[in-house]
Amino acid sequence: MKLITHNMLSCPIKGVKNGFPFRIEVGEVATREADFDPTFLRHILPRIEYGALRAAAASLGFADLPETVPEGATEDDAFLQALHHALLELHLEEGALVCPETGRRFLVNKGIPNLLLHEDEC
Amino acid sequence: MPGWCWREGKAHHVIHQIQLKVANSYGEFEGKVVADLGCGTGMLAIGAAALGAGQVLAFDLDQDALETAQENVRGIFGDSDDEADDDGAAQIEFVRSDVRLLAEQQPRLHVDTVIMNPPFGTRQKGVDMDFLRAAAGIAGTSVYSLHKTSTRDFIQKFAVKTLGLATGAATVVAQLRYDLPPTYAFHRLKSKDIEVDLWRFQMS
Ligand SMILES: C[S@@+](CC[C@H](N)C(=O)[O-])C[C@H]1O[C@@H](n2cnc3c(N)ncnc32)[C@H](O)[C@@H]1O
Repeated sequence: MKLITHNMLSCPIKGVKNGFPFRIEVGEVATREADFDPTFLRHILPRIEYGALRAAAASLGFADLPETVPEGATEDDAFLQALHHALLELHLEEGALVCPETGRRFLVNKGIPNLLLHEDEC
Repeated sequence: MPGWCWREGKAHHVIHQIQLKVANSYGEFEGKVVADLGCGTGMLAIGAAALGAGQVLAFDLDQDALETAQENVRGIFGDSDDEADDDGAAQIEFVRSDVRLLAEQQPRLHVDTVIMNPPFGTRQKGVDMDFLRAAAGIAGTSVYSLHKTSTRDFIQKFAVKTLGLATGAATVVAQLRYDLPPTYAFHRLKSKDIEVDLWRFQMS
């Protein structure tokens, strides 16, 4: 699971108000190189919750994202490179996503998060 | 078993190719965030990635299907741990989730384009409409989905009344017919022709 995905997922339990962002429990992290595509990064940056991304990246051991999105970010090569790495190259292979409100853990195995609920949670 | 799916075999493969080709003619894959709802073994997700999607999110209930999908990705694009030839593989993410919950329970899930081949609702009534509601809830640009031709009028009304789309936003962009091989037919030994529509729902 990449952090672009983490940035779009919330705890699906009914009635949970603050189910985003999941806290990450790290088992195993992988880094895989991906093609750098600044056009795509500019396309998705407005949808990214930056604070959540930065914290998630830090929990996977990548602390190079600046505290806030810099001015002129879309033309800032160094920033875009860091954003690219954080969103698209870091993978949580094994671990868990933890709901910030309920503490419910959703396991991540072989890079696939399991968001299925138990019957009493829907 | 939720992953059970009767649209198998060769006919299925052809349908995927046509669905991808027609959908891609609108230019809504390249550089976009795409979702495949009920991805099964991942053929539409893989197709979307091959067409240049910036990122594909593929959802299914079934763990076995997802693991097969991941193996298919590696088989087609090369092992992603290997540097050679993994373009595209890197672009697909699998999530195990109930698609029916996405629209209401995933407020941050926004994609540009949805491509899907939902269950027809033969076994579970209305599940195809639940998939459409989910797709419309997360797509910003368009949804491409296959449905039985026999449900055409119903879907047209559903698009306006339930999904709140403008009249004319939901269109059948291809009509297909294929053979359901007898091994997969429910209760007959003859093969059976199925007519399906490929719909395009324009979201904005
Ligand atoms: C008709 S198959 C299509 C598979 C694939 N998209 C294809 O075209 O080859 C439907 C898929 O939807 C999945 N499915 C059924 N109900 C689901 C649900 N509520 N949430 C997520 N996936 C579901 C099944 O596991 C199955 O893989």
